[in-house]
Amino acid sequence: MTREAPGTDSSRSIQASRETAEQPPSKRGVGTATKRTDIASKVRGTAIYGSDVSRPSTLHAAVLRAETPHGTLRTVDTTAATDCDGVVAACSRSELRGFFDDRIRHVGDVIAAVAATDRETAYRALEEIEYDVIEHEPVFDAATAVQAGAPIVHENQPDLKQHRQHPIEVTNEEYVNNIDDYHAYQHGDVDEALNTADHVIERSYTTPRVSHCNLDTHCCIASWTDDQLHVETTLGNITQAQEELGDFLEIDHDSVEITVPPTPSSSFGGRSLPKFTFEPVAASLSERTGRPVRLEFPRDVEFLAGETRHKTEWELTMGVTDDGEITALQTSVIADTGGYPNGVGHIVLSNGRDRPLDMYRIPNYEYEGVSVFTNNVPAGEYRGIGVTQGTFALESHIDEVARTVGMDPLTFRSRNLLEEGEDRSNGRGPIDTSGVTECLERGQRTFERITDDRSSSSNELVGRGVALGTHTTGSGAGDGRDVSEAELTMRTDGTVTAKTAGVELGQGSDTVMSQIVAHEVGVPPEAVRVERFPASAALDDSLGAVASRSTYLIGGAVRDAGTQLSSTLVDRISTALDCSPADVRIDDGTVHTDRSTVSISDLLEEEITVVGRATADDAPASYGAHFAEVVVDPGTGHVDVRTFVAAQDVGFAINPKMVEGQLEGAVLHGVEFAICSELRADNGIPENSSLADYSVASPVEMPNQLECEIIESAERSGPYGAKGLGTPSLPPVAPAIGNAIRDAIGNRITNPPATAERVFFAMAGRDFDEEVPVDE
Amino acid sequence: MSDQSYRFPDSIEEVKRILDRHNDEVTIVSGGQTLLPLVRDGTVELDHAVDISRIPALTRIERTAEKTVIGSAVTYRDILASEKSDRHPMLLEAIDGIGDRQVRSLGTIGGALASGEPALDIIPVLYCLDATVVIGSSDGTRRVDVDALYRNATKETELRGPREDYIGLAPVEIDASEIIEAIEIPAIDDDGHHGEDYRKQTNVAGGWTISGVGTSVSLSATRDRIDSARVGLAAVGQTGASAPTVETALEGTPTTMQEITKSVEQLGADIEPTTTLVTSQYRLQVAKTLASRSIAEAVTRAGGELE
Ligand SMILES: Cc1cc2nc3c(=O)[nH]c(=O)nc-3n(C[C@H](O)[C@H](O)[C@H](O)COP(=O)(O)OP(=O)(O)OC[C@H]3O[C@@H](n4cnc5c(N)ncnc54)[C@H](O)[C@@H]3O)c2cc1C
Repeated sequence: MTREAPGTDSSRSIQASRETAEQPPSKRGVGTATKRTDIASKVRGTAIYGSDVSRPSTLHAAVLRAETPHGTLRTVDTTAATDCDGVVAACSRSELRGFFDDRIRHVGDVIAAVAATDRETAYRALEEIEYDVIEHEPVFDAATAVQAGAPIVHENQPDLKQHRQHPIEVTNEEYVNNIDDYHAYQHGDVDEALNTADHVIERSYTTPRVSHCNLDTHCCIASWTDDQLHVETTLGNITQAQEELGDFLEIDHDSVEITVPPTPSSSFGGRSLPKFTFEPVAASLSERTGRPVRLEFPRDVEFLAGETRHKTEWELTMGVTDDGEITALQTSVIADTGGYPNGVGHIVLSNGRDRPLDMYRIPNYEYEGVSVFTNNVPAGEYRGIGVTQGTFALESHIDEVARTVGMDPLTFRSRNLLEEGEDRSNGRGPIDTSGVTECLERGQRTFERITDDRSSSSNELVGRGVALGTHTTGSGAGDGRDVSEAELTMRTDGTVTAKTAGVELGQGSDTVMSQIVAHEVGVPPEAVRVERFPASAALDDSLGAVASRSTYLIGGAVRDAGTQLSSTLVDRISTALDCSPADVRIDDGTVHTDRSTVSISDLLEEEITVVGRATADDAPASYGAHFAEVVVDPGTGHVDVRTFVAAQDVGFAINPKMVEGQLEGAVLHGVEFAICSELRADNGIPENSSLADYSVASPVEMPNQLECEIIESAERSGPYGAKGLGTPSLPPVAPAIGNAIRDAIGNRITNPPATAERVFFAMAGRDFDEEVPVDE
Repeated sequence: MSDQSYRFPDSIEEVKRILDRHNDEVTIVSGGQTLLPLVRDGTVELDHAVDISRIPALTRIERTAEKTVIGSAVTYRDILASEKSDRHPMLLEAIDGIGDRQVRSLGTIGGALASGEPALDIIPVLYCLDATVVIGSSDGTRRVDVDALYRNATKETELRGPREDYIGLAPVEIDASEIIEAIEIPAIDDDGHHGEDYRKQTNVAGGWTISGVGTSVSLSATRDRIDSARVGLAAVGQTGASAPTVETALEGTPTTMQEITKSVEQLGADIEPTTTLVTSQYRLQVAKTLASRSIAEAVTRAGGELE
């Protein structure tokens, strides 16, 4: 449940400031707060989202979902359901196409599915399905599931993309069962460094399973034309999704075409890749009935069969010298993949391994990570895959270490930061652009200014905290394999259509693309129409709208196309006007020469089409330094995030207003992670799978005062100096708040969310006449 | 009756007639905020609805020198908007914090009382304000104290037909043939010695109440002693609850924080906190914190000086 922001709260202020390091590009497109192209339809409610779409002669699907977490289906009888009026097909799990076997692996897994002429009929028919399941011993704790003797979730290790990403060699003898992915890495001599360190600090941290809670629930329409499957749904990573669906359904990748609805839903990772119990089920029913089939998740199924952020358990051991130099870090993480892989266990673990080394100088380093199948609901992509969890653990730990050494946490961090141009400790080359020092300095200045005159009353505990965070831009490979292309067509009326791989998921990518075209070509942004190119187009793209690559890589392709379009256009105009190209200036759709001023449409006789391309040779890291001030009520443990400063290096802000929006959104997401949300489960059965019981943050939980500091480090490889923002801005938020809570109450909550209850019982020096309840 | 019907009767009498004839088949719909989510998720089958939200006599607020009478189908929003209720600050405090704007615009006071969910904020407030519930049927009208609706009701209490399937959240002593017509709140003798307060805690804004405490106090003429107190609680037990032990402990005590805290320490004797969303230990601790603060604020508002 949410509640409107108290509009009368005049103390609330959100401010953004921006200091541009270098001369900004001219103001004709990029660098300005251009109005979003989608704003009117979204604000007026006319936007057509996935769940608003209806297509003629479409059938409606309903899915019978498992109520037990682990078992084998012995019989599934769909006869009575098939006989219901209005039912066109009813399929048992094993009758569905593709990799469906007879095993139930989590609550919410598919038992059977029905397609009927309307949704109510489909749901009613589910009640007619009889089935018999042999229950197996389930396993819910990832650390237990990986040990020998634990119940096996997948008898045959499924090859669902996960294992194609890299060869897996498990070197830990205790890790035997249910391994989804595994990474081990080391450099230097950690044991020796820990032995000789002045201080060794060891701690465990856990992060919760959380759900995206996208406002628009999952909805897809699947249909077949001959052997070609068409799925209309919001998916950010279309290319990979087509491959995954093809593999799953055992058809050619080329036989799968995914299109997005007129207005895609928000994603935050929740709409990056297909889900087992979603698109494949609709596709199977459509194949069987020969008609389009629409499957929509009810809200509770979002929690069961959508995806969740991997629940993780971290153990960190850090060695430091008396004067605060990190000499060693040993990290181990266990991530809970749930019942099915989503190809990102690998990303969780590799981000856990690499990101600390993009931030700090760590001469001796040892890392081990394993992601593990359990009978919990599936995990998958969620904003900052692995890095959100890992940064919480690392930045909480660093706060503890600084306290142990007796250093100010900020000074401690500064002392160990990698500098621009300095080689990473893992030998992966130098940090290219890093605005982290500026983030720290400017963020701190602003934070001190606005928290300076705060007095606190005797019945509140005030605490302050800081955290850093970094994440790479794009897929992170940075090896030239990630590419994107864009096609621009200028029509004779002077308007431009841009075909790109972008998906406007609310992040504002269509607006940014129109700004880039406007800037390069000299037309107003309103004259640019941005479309997604169809899968069948001869244009290339690897990953779509994921991994903060839209502006960086797709934007790079658009810019490349824009410069080509501009020079072709200038050539044509100079020929038409019989002047030198150097004398032609195009601004706001109007052509200016020494002699005349005419509009493009008066001169252009044939349309111009160009294709641009960008390749990610780098994966530049973006940095943020975030500062939080919390007020804790000692009588209830309630945490109020009063003040927050998000200082973020974005390379270059193509649209400062939208950058601010991304930062504010990250703060909201981070507040939610830090103090609100957790999908709790009892024996694999989610206990709070409704928005009445699952806490999501609303504007009320936002800081009363929030300032966004936009730092521009001018990234060499990005368009106009831009780099990723969506993902990198999230990780520092929660640890900054966690560190502030630690400062306020004298104890650390190592298992977010720091709900009022957890904080209440964790308060230092508390004396209870009753035992502190055990918190699972 | 046909298979399904949705009616808008014009008067209370018509509702009573329908209830008299078909009480085991029809369901009263007021704002639908409790009912419709249950219908939507299939918990309740709503075949025959009697919608009372357009009956003029049920949607009025009347104020006389002696009392404020709120029709059962008056929405939270209308109570907030009505200047007439400014005599009861705790009523406004409670309503202001209920759910979100949609819930406040549609949810009604009678619907809340009839559903009796323990987490409802309005029940402890009406208890503190010594409100009377007017319940009618074709047999006549009866008046009961708010807490009497829940005090004696147990799980075994016979509930009206369609409702027993789903209410179960909290038993309410209203018969299937009855309708809540109005809530009467007596005017407070404004001798300047009365004070009241309501406060609650939720996990997130707009979320379920974890613990809610309302207080109304009457101070001695010299304002340094508590003559009488009512302490009502939300979300702490199986039903809306009061705290008689704390009330008794407060009676006659000096208005000091120490005495208030001491009285509140006995809260455990009055309630059996549930474990929905948080542990019962925590719920009790929060109830104690809120109770101390609520009583202290009520005393201050009554003109008492806290020592
Ligand atoms: C999202 C959400 C958030 C909420 N948050 C809060 C909160 O923070 N605090 C809080 O206190 N409450 C909260 N509520 C509950 C809300 O207060 C109640 O749902 C609402 O007041 C019920 O009134 P209604 O008119 O909608 O009742 P309905 O749903 O119409 O009816 C409820 C029940 O009462 C019966 N009934 C209704 N009127 C009468 C009558 N006059 N006589 C006899 N029987 C009757 C109906 O048959 C039904 O059984 C929330 C509800 C929602 C949906």
